[in-house]
Amino acid sequence: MNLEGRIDIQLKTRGVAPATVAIQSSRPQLAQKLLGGRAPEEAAHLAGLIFSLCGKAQRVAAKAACEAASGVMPAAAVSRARETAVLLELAQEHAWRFLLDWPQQQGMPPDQAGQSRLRQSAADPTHFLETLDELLRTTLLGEAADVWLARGLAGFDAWRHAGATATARLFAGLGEGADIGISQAGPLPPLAILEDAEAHELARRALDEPAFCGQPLWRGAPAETGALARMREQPLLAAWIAQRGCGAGARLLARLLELTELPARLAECSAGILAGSIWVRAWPLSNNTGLAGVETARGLLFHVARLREGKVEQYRIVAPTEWNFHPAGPLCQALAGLAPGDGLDARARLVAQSLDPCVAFGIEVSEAR
Amino acid sequence: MCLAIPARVVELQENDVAIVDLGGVRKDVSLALVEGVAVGDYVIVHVGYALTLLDPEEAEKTLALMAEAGLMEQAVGA
Repeated sequence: MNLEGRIDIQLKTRGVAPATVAIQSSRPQLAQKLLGGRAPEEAAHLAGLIFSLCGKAQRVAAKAACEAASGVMPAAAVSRARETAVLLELAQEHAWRFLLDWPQQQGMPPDQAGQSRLRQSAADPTHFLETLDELLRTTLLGEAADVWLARGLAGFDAWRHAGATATARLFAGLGEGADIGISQAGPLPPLAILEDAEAHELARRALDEPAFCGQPLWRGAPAETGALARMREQPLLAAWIAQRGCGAGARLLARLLELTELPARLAECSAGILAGSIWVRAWPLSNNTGLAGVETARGLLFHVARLREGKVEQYRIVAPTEWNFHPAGPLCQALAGLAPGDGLDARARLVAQSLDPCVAFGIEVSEAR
Repeated sequence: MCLAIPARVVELQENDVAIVDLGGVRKDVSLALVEGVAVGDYVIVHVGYALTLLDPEEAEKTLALMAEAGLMEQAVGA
């Protein structure tokens, strides 16, 4: 059963040191096949149904790309509603990592009840924020979000070593010294600072080169996308990176910071501050073509639509997993750079999970011949 | 992209676990994250959890669309 595709990772070792890394993705490129020939409204609806793990983001991306292709700009209220939907979905995905995945991976009990409460509250942003605030104060941070956010790196280390919450104990388990699985891949620019010319070039390549959507490159090299790329300037994260490097710990910290700052981001959306420039952007291109970018939990999601006589003629999707799990990209570099020593298997798994592919993945660690 | 195939719930078991039918393949999933699931409902499954309860009409439409694109044969054959 391999319909949605999966990612197979092979880490060959020499003794307790990594030797080679091979990443193989069987994720199918289905956008053209499933969305070609459809009316824009239908394409947007279907994109949300078919790719429903990040369905809100997919639907918003499809609508924005088709609108841009028709030369239409959405009303401010529509943009705000879309950004809110995208943010609520992003927050649930981030919470999943801390409440379910990471504890399970470390043999700790997952907090299914907490994740379930957050999901059930998502229909109403006010209720969602209350639920998130309560989860942050109890399960995740163990203190008010603003108190936690005011901690510097020393304060953060004190927090994780005190281990008052399951999340703090997970961060304490990362240990001291260099981060685990450091990658040198540069960040894909977040939407907020993506240059128009570069966005246009990305859309052109996605349309002209079928292989680009499966193995995208940024300025000729693999790049990392996700919370880490968006949050690098945040002082605590910047301090962590400067002292320990850009590895699994930095990625997980970036997610927790983004989740903790979410109430402020949502308030900006509803107040109309910066609307349409940080989480969702669209570019009308020549030849009835539109590009849309949406920031999701896993990183930047791009949709490119070319319309002809009111129907989708060409459709391309470049999804965040394709950047982060590029055969020579961030995961590959991180695994190849793992420090020699025991527990390579568990560390490799943690690194892959910190990049969080949107499909199942397997890691095989074996001795190189 | 995270392709999501609607899975039909065929049996409810103890401890919030259900058996679903996914393109002819049966598997166990946790119902801890959704409420009010009944036999015959369609859900989206991700890493062992049932996530979203789908409108049956939408689910059947999605399955038909995937079949039309030749995906379901692949699923059963794989």
